[in-house]
Amino acid sequence: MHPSLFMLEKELLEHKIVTRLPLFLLLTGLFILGSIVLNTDSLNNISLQFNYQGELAPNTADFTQGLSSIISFGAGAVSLLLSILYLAKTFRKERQEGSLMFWRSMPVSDAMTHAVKLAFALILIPLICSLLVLSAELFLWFVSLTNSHDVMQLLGETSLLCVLLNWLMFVAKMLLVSLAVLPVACLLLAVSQVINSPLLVVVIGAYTVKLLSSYVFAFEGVATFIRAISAMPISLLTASQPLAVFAQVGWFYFLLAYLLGALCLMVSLSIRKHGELDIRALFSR
Amino acid sequence: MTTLVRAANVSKQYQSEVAVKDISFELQAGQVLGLLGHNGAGKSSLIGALLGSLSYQGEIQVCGLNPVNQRAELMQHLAYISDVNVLPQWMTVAQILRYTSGVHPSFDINKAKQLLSSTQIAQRTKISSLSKGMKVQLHLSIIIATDTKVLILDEPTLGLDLIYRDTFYRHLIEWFHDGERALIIASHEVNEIEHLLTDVLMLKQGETVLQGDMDSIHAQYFIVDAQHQHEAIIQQMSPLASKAGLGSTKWLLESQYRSQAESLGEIINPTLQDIFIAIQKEGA
Repeated sequence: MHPSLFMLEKELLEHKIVTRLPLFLLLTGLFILGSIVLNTDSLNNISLQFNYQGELAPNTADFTQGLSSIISFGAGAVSLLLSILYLAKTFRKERQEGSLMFWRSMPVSDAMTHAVKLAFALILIPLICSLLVLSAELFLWFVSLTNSHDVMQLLGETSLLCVLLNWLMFVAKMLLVSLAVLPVACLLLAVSQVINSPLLVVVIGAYTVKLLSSYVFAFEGVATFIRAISAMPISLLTASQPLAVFAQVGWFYFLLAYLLGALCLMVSLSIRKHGELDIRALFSR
Repeated sequence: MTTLVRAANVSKQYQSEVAVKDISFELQAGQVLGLLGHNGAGKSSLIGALLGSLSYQGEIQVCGLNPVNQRAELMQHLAYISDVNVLPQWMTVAQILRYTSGVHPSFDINKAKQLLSSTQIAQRTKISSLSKGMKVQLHLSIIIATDTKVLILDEPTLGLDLIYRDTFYRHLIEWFHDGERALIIASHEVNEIEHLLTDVLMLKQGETVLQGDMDSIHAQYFIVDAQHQHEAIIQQMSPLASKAGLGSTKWLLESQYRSQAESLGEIINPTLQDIFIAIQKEGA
């Protein structure tokens, strides 16, 4: 087995919430769905209501597509939350608990460590959450096979192929979300190596920069960039045409985000390598 | 003899504070270097530089590799145990062995399990629930099961009881004689490690104050146990330290005065601790 697989396994063991939260939500969701569909008399009394604000409005149609969209959005939001929490915690935890020297004593390069942590956050966590979608979809399909017309009305037409398609769509959508999150992920990895509250610093920092650019320097470009990039993951989760979200943001902002992300990754690698931010070393190679 | 560690003019500065200044040494297979110094003498900074966890000025090569730029490759041959437990507390013993076997190409998991089978450390135990002695034992077992050429120990037995210390040094000596290896030990317990050392590098405020092999260091100093009446004569020999006793005083002197002092009292060979304390107190 490749060392990176052992490293991914170690991340799974260390951050148990990544598996436990989706499992808990799956069991809870299945329990609720099970109680609803088994108690078919109450189906006539079910009504779904959604409240939304602001930018979600153009994507309202997605919510009306039924339970599958709700499950997909919920699982996507959980995945996004877990990824961000993981990225903010992983390097900080090693530093705070004192195990950093042990991990550094292993023959693993800093680039490999970063690649594994990014892959864990942006690929493995979405894949784990996709199992939540797959299980729920399979459950609904199974229920549709065995239950009455009322249930079919609620769930709509479904088949095993639909289940697989929905799952693949979710995986594809989450990979796009991961692409959108990648620059922020690099930023969190860098910040978490030197600061104990990286999420707070990143959020407050982003708002401060937005406010400064808008009200002090009267320059809306920075604020628009931050707004566009920070809204991308949720927009992707709720969009019926995820690729259109990339088009809305525009290639310039996306390229800029990736350039900043690359800079953050270089800074993060430098901090990991030198134990401190060494500006000269950053540009020496 | 293979040179395993080479440090040339190594310095480390934290903003305006100099932690390590212009330190050079070489360590070959079969040598055990005692890195001695007070708290804040620069031992940890030098160790950090050797491990590649701190940037530094100067040149360091361990097993022919640069600790900063070739750390991943170097860590196949270099290991480190410190007084602060660095093992991940949340892992079980079996998990850490599995992880190490996955990422360390020369780690022999069966050897590690065999070493642990002679201890009270169970595979399913969480590291957090092991005693400090057991944690050090586990860490040493992991290192022994790899093809480590250079081992750096930073106060390894601090907080361990006598039984664990004895076991630790026994395993360490077995490991050391099992191949072409070098050892660097940083410790305050000079008496405890003296019998292991072949060489000494003593630091004070970041600078080298004593360096050499044990024989040459012992040859540089002697103690004369002289009656109090000889104090005036001995003071002219610039004694490094003195310890007053009943009727006589023990004076630590440099070897150039040996022939003069022989007539003044009994000549005793100083321990490394005597020399260490004298040098550290000098000018304080």
